[in-house]
Amino acid sequence: MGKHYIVIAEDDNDDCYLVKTALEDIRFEADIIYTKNGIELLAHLESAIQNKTNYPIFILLDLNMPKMDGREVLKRIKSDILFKAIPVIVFSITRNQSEVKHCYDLGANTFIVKPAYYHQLVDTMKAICNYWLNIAVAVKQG
Amino acid sequence: MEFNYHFRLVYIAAAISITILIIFGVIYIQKSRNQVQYIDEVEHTYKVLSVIGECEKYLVEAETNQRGYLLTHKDQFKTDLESAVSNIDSSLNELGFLTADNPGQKIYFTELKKYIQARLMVMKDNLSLKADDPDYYGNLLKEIFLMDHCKMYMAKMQGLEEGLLKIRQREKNKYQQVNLTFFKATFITACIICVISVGIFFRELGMRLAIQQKLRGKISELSRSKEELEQITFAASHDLQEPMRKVRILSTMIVKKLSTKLPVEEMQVINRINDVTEQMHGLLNDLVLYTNLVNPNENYVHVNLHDLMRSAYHKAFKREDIAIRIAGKLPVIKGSPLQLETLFIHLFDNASKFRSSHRDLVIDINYELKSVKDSKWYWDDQLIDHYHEITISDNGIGFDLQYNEKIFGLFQRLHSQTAFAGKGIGLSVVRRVMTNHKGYVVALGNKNNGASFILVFPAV
Repeated sequence: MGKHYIVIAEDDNDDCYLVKTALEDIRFEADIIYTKNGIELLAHLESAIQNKTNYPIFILLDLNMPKMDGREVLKRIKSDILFKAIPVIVFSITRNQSEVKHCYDLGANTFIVKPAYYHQLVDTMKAICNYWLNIAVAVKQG
Repeated sequence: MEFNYHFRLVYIAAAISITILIIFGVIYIQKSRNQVQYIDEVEHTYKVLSVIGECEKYLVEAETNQRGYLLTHKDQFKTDLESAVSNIDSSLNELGFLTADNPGQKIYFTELKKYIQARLMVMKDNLSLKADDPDYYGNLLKEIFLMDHCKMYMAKMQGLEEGLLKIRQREKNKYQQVNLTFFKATFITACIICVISVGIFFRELGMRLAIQQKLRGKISELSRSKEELEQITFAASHDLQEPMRKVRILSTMIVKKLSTKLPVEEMQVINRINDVTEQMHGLLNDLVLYTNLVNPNENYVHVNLHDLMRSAYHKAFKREDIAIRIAGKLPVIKGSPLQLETLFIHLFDNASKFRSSHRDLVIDINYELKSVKDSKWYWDDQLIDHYHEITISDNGIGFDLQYNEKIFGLFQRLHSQTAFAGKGIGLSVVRRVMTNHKGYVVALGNKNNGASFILVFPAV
């Protein structure tokens, strides 16, 4: 049993900073691991298996990233027998319906549009963390 | 225009040259026929002359043979005489046939025939006579007389025929000459006209090709700048949204974190920044909305405008109860339900926004199916007979008719920002949706006396 942690896959520094600040504001206590693209994210998940550490509580996934974008990495996670149980929260700038449907079809657990106001971001983060930490029951890795 | 004018010249030149050629051809055929006729006549005359000559020859031959017989009483002369006589007969027949069409010659011929026949009778008589017959001498005299007459008439016929020959020869030569000149003239004229027509034609063709080239250049220039413009609008609307969002979220973060710590004045500045970014965000959103309408990749389906208008009414006015009077049931057309609903929502929003403070808002909707024939709209060579005309009128504050184009412009506003909310995109969207559906929208209005929007769709 390792520590609780979440993974954020986001290439944009500003967005990383904002999410980090928001999480600090709500006094989120678990660890936060930042990955810059899909490849880094997958590499992190692979190492988690090898080190027999816990899976993340959830993955906050941006769609537009270099090297391997969010859609591709979402597809890989959700078609991998070991990873598919990990909750993936798509964190995107678009509310385009075809994109939303595509992500849910691939197996996304939630689709969230990046808020435009700081207080909304804080509220959103609070709600997500509360839901996946306190309300939803997670799969324990043995 | 100028092109058509020049090309009309080519047509006219071609028509003239063809007409001239036809006229020349007809005249030429006529002249040739005349010439052939004269040639025939000359030949005819020659033939008559030769037959007369033959006749004379046979006559002389007959006489010679008769004399020979009378002198020698050899039967050889008698047979020769008989063959000469039969030759005379056939020659006379031919001559009679040849001269039948000439009254003068006919008279001479009758006389000639009479004398020749008489002469032949005498000749026959003579054969049976002995030299000491008393009739012999008388017959001799008669013979001479008859022979003289024969010769006289032959000479007369020859004279007449020669006279004709002279005339006919002259005519024939004249026509031959004229025909040659005429042919030359025709040929040269036709050539000149042809050269001129071809010249004009090629000049026009050259000009057309040059203009075509120019147009092609312009088209590629246009499509290039269109592409660039599309890229710019796409960038402006989509790529600017992200930084915009960040500015908003960062400035609201400052407000949230520092609102209690910052002095009032600095706080106000930050709030102003927030307002401006808010405004800019709205503009960008509208721009995205609008640019998405410029090249929509939507499949058009059959849309019931009546139902669409109803649902738009509820979306636009929410729970407000606005009087709406509808004359005629709106038609079913082929189009995009999403776009058309947006169109009605914007029109209702517009009516709602610019309502008069002195009276309750009433919206009138009229629908008519009209014939294209007496239409004042321009229908871009579409094969349609009818069009749908939907008029949506309100009793709001209206607008000055001189602005009836301006109100459709992107971000154009007739009122100050504070008087009426909105960024001025609604009617641009309306116009864009109409353009996407190959229709038109026109606004009519009076200041303080309501506005009307006329939507026309082609009825396919």
